[in-house]
Amino acid sequence: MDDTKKNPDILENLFRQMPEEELPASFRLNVMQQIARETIKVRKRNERLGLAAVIAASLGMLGMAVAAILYYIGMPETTMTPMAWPKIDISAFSFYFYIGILTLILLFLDYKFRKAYRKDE
Amino acid sequence: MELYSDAYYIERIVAGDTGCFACLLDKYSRPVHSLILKMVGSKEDAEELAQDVFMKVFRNLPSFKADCSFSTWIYRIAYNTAISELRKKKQEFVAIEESQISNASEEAVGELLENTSVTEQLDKLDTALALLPPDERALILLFYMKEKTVDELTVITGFSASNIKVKLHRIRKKLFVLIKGMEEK
Repeated sequence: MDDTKKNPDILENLFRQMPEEELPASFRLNVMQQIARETIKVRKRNERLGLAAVIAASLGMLGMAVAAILYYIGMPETTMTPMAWPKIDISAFSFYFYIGILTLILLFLDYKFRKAYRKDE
Repeated sequence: MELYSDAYYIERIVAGDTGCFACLLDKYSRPVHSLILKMVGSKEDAEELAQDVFMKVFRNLPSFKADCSFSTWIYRIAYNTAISELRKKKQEFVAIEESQISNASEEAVGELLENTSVTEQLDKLDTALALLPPDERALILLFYMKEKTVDELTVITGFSASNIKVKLHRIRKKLFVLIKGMEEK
């Protein structure tokens, strides 16, 4: 069939002369507007995903911190005397709380700086 | 004259410069719209489908692997979009007898068209094309009007090369029968 292209035939001549239809004037604008909307939608979705990842990571770190504290001070005894809670060292707690808050602030700042950097780009 | 290649624009768009899509749009919107219009036959549907095609192109641009030319890739999306839209609608087409197809000859049609003007010939071809099923119409338009090779047509339609050759041969014969029928009337 490719031979048909080498030897022009009646159909090939006619198809070559067939005019292409005119596009509506608004076509380009409509498509570009749709693309702009799509780009914003994708950017917002990525931002939401990023925020969700930061929250999940923070919660994970908090969970690990709580687990580490409980491991350090030991689990409360429930079999012998249910009301006999161990004495908690408050100074250690305030230290872990400080570290946790610092981590969250750093993560939040990282998120904000990344957002500002992407906006500048 | 083209300032930059398609690959350059694709790279820029994927990197986030969506404004570059306008350059691809300027280059391909008219031929894609023209193909879809010939396939679906309605200006409103063709405009809507062409917009769908370009949105699909934009969304899937990062997955374009350049294993075929960009125009072939766009035509594949356009062909599939138009065909799936047409499948939703019930359409009837002219049935042509096998004996008529095998007896049709290019020479006879050439002789019949000899005394008619080019405008009339084009009108007859347009009418004959409208009587073909949309997939056949698309195939012959891509081959002759968009000058796609058989290999490129295999990528666009998903048919095998031998299947496409047979189909093109039969479509040509069908067009000859239809044009001859119009001339004899």
